[in-house]
Amino acid sequence: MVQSGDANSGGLPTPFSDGEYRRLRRRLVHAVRKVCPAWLAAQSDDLVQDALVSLMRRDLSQPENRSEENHELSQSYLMRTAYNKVVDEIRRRRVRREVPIEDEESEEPSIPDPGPDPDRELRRRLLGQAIQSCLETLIQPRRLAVTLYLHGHRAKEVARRLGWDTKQTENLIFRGRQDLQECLEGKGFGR
Amino acid sequence: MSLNDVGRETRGTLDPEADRWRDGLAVLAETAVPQEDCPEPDRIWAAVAGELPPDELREMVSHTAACVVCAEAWRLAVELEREATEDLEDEGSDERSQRTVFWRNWAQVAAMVVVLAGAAFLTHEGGPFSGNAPPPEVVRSGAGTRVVALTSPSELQPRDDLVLAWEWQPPAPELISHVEITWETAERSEPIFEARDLLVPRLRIPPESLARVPSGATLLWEVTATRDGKVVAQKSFPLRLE
Repeated sequence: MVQSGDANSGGLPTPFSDGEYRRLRRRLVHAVRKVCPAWLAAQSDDLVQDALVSLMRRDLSQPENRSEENHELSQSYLMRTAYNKVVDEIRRRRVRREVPIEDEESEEPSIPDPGPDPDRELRRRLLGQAIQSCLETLIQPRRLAVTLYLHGHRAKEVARRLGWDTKQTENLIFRGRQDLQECLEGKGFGR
Repeated sequence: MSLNDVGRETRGTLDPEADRWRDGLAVLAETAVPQEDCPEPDRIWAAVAGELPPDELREMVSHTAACVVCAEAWRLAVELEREATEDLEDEGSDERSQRTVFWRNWAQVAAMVVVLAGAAFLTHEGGPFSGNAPPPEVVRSGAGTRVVALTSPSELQPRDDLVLAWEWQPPAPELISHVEITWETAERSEPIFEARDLLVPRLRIPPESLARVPSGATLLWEVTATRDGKVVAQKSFPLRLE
């Protein structure tokens, strides 16, 4: 049994079994690995521990957090917890623009890596800015539909979330996509 | 891309132009800084999971159209949420395959009875193979990472002869199994039994380790498959103890 304040628990507030702790941790390691970008991988152990602590501080007896069949914490809930921790950490680092310790100790000034092809990187960035600018010009329903489409949603998912008819949504994505393409071509970003 | 393709679109398959646009937005996100009005990650997850009313969702989508940091977080949530949903769907198909496996097992048991009867005839004293011939080695082929339970999750299992059995799909005889059994209640999860480095996908649980578990209790057994020391599959299954 792992008690509050035990070295294994990281100061978790409620007693819980070794078996549950180990199993939860293992599943969280898996979830964090899926969410964590490569550049943050060195911090994944800390993120797992953070996620575990916040998970145990919530009321695990809440039925909505457990899958019905085996009373385990649902995969979706674990994934969500891991996601929250990782996105928080990404944002925190971007705000602080943290520099790795080895770079701080280096006597040489840190120069951002331009990548293998600086011209190509620049074109990608300019395209991204043009897309943002073009999205603003789309009429709202098309802008919403195309934005969700670019976020990776399928037409059916867009329709369900926005309370629209599927056919209508497919049409909005199609027309919005055409508008976006024309706008980008006008800015010199043809196919 | 045609209008018909919109309904069938999944990322990276039918719309390479959109993939190029996504790439352009993702590059911007690498150096962008979050704003004060960026929604919390959990709100983004809720939006992606369809938990927000349409009005609130529209507001958030409009924000992500202009904010590449939140757009990046949204795309990540879409991938993960979809994966979690597909895992659940997989569990449903596991149940269906377990029903198939049930009938297949009966066929295997029937076949085994015939084989054993034949073997008993051949090896009984005075039989044609009554010497000290070694038992035949069962060799399975293939490799895979899915664990499928052969022990029924719904039927009451005998506590004095509880046997857990599982298989790999596709067959992967080289996998080593670790099994952990816990007693699940609404309040807690208590370890009951653990077995490591199993070479066969089958385990008999000593009745004494079940002594403190009450009748009708739900146990959770988790199989972890490893190959060369690395975990390649893991799955938990419930069972009810008589």
